[in-house]
Amino acid sequence: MPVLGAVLTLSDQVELRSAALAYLAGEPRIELGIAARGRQPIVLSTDSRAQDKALWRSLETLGGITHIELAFADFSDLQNEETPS
Amino acid sequence: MTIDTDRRTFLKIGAMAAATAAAAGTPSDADATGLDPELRKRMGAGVTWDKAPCRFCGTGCHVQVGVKNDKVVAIAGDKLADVNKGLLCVKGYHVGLALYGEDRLRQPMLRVNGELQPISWDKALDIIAERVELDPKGFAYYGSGQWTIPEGYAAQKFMKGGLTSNHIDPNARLCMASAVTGFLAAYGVDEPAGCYEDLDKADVVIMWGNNPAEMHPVLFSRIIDRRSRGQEVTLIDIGTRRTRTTAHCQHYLEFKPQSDLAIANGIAHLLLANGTWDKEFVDANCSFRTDSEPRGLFGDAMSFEDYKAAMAEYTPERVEQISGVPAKDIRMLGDLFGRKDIRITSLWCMGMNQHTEGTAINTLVHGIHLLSGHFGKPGDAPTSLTGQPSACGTAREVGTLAHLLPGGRLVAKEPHRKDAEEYWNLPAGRIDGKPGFHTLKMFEDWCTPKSKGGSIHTIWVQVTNPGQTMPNRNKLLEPGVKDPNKFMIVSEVYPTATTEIADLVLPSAMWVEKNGMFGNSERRTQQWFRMVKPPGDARDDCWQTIAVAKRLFDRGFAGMKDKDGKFLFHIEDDSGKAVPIWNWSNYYDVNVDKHLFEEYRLFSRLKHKDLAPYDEYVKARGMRWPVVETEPGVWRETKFRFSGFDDPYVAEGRAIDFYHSTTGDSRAQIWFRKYTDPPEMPDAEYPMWLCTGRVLEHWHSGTMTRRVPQLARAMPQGYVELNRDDAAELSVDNGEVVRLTTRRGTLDLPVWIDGRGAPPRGSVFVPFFDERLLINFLTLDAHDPFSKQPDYKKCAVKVSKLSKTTAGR
Repeated sequence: MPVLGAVLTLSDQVELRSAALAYLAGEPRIELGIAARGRQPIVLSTDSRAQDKALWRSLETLGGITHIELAFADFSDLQNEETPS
Repeated sequence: MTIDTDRRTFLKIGAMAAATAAAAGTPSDADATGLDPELRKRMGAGVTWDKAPCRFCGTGCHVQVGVKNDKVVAIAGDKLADVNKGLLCVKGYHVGLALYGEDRLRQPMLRVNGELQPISWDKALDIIAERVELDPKGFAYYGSGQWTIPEGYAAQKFMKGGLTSNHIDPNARLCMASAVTGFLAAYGVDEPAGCYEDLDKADVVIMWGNNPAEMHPVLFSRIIDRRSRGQEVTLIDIGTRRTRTTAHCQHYLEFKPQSDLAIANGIAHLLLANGTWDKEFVDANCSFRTDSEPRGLFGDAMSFEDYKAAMAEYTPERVEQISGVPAKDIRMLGDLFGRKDIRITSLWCMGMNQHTEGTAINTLVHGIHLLSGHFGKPGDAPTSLTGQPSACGTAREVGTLAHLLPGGRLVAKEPHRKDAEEYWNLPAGRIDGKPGFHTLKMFEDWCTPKSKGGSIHTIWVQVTNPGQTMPNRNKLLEPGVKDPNKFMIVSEVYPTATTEIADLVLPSAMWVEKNGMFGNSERRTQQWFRMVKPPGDARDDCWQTIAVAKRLFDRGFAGMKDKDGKFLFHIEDDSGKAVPIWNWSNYYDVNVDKHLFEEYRLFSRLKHKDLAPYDEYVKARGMRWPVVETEPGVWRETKFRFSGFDDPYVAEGRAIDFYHSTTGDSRAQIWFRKYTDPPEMPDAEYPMWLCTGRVLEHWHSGTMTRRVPQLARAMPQGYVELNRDDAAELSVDNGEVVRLTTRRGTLDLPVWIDGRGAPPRGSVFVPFFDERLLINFLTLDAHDPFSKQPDYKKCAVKVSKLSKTTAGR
């Protein structure tokens, strides 16, 4: 399954940022790197598509994350993608 | 530790290295190819890497593409790329996966008794040749800003040089045609003067009906990144609905649809009333212009006094009355533009372009930058963005529009036609001097029976999806689909709303399955090589054009011969031997892109849009034109056009030089244009505004991105955004289905309240990515008088609650 290297821009609001970092730190499928200039590098690694979906959505909806960018994605394990219904 | 676990651990270390370096902004970590060395090491020697621009939006991000066993297996942001500096948005990340949807088209298909049946390429080429021979002037080509530069150039030469038909137009007509006419009317030449570096220098960035947080996220993050480094940047969102962009802005100015015209005039009024306009800049570089009677693209000259008098009525209070934006906010904008100690960049895209007064609002925004002197310095720029990867490079520069020749030249001008005939080695007079049909006219004519004067019998569609994106589809598509004498050929990569109605479907290669070149929003020309083979019998769009041309040549069609009797796309290898590039097996024996580009490059010098030799683009992450040779073998790009400190074509000693001025005196035009109501407004029967647009996860009609499961799951289907109070009044909640009705059609959609965007009361928003829920049966085909670009952003709609819960039409 995919291994992603991403950069998160965190909220200026201290409470939201702290909550987001707490969530990220407690999520075993996410590794936190060393933040620089308010930007948090992470690595996401999941075992299934269902997990990937849930994790992705959780990041998108997390109030303390204002922007998500990708630096790297490996999807060599994936077979051809299904057509969405 | 198993081999798999070991590999993943290895990869995760590489992924973290890449992300950490990108977060810290350390491009020097990249190796000579733009890839993080740690990443290269950890991906292993079996993976080969090369550069390519992303094939989605017009930002022009460069990606590093990892290939193993003829398959794209990894993507990384290219750290040597100025545009994206090693980072990608969610669509860029999935650009590799978009190649591998299970339902990729793999063989040509002909519709027989209503069903698409597989046929050979040989038969497909014969069918197209027969359609041309029926009446070459009734054969039209419809492409897009997704055509690579060589693809668009080949199509352009095939049509205008081969068929002597100017009926070629791109879907860029629906996307940024008003930006083109705006640039032409203001400066006499198309495309932005500035570049993305303006975003690094501006103190104030104003988004005019623009949502870059979702549509151009990498550019937007460039601004957000400055804030994270402690820089002060004021962001102002002037919009008709709250978006993700709004959340980052210090100011949100919500205006009534169409009243951006009044807001721009209100700023000009304040600059004049307060005496804060830049007299020195204007005296040296500008003239004033207003609409002629009848209206024309270049209008009539007006004096400064008349201009000032015309702007007098646009007081902040009057503008508030028209736009709904409080007078104090209009004053805030006027004060900002009046300051000389700050730099201001305006950004816009579809909001200003898909507008029945699109040319007018484009010229007005250029005008306030010129009037205030916020122009021509890094950070001071009026900049339009494009939605497609080569809307600038192919549609605008190659000129795949019905009235253009390559290099921004016009079919209507005899000297321009003569130059093209010379470069193409055609007999004198081959090119038709009458502009062809623009997109709406092309499809309207295709929908008109021959007995009623319809002349277009066949449209060949490449790299676009008009079945989903054409406005008012009941008028501009359905009659042609039902007429047995009309024929549609579609070159595509996946089944779409257009292949559903096509008579002949041709499977195409996409992105790194072929060589290519794009031109992005900042005049940057980019190049890449083929890295993997296309699936099945899919083939390059450019090859398809050349193969049809050769089939016509073999059948004796005179237009496919040059004046010496040679094939129009005659190409020789280094030894001078002709290469049969029309045979698919020989197509990659030579670099066809390079041959076509070097021929096209001749045109680029005619309007100071000079391009470098092909091989220079192989080495670079794109170069911004005009690119000039400063000494033998050294090519220099231009970041800031018309500015004496950077543009090689600015006359010696001038700080600013608009050297394509419509008045021939090096001056740009500051326009006055009055506010006018849009052609359709809410009334008692259709009481709300309907606006349509895009979403972050899906690129345009979703043909590719809906096949990426992660994206499809994140944004699975179309919806209608409804204001919470309007929803309460209708007694509907999230997920319930409502019926939208306009004068042109109906569509049932699930409701989303307080979702991605938040429209104000009396207004709804519907994305157009979902081909199962086609909003363009409802939209308006009224268009700008100059650009012919339709208005997808505002029409009147009625919303009613339904008892059933199934969305659809």
